[in-house]
Amino acid sequence: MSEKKDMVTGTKHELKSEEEKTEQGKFYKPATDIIETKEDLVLYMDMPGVNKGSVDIRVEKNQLTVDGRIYYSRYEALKAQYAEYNVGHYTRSFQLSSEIDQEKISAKLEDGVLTLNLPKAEQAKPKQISVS
Amino acid sequence: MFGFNSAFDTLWRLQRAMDRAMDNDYFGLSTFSAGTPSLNIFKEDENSLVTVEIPGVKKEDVKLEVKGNTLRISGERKIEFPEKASLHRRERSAYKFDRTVRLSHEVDENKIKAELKDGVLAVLLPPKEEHKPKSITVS
Repeated sequence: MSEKKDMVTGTKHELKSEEEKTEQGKFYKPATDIIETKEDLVLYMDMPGVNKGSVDIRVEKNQLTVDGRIYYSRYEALKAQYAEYNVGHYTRSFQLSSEIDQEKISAKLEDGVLTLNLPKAEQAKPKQISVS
Repeated sequence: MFGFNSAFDTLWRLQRAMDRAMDNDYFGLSTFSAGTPSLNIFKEDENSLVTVEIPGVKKEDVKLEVKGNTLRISGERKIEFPEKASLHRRERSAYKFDRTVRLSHEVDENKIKAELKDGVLAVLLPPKEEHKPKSITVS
């Protein structure tokens, strides 16, 4: 079993936030990959259990905040027998540079993975300079 | 919500402590200790419910096998990036997984329900008729 694994995944990280939450429940920091292409920055965030209707993405003063809600109702009738992970909401913020065109940010949620497209502003795109 | 959380937390903390004490690599046979991906087992009435968080895994990449009272979950999580992309941060990982769990009862193979939704795999495993608990009236 062990030799088949490429890499051990990190366990879920519970959020240690500076600001206190006003509601009950656990909050986790979604594991995130960030890549850059010529046109944009792309964020991939693991948010298992979150559906399209319960994601909130907003940009305020160059801060991008992503909130994903979990519905506890599906666990209400269940009795835990054995547990390796816990469930909770997800939240994470990123600081955006001026190179991002904030108007054109788009998002997609598929199989518990949120993909955020952050297009670069025109002036931030790489330019090819030809030598004359 | 509160009831589930608090009872769940207690169990979870207890198990974490047990794992640290018992399942650390020093006593184990392999260098592999914690399961990947993590799974939970719940009881819903008489049925067992196994849940696994596998965000980004497609239905086609998961395989389930049931035999007696064991459930085997295997598959692969693939992570693909567009070509010519530079990586800024890498926290998610691709992996192959293969885990077997033993349940408290034999499973009725014909009544299993499996669902992969929003990155969470949920497998409902009803017990075999002859393994259901019988209530006995005291006369």
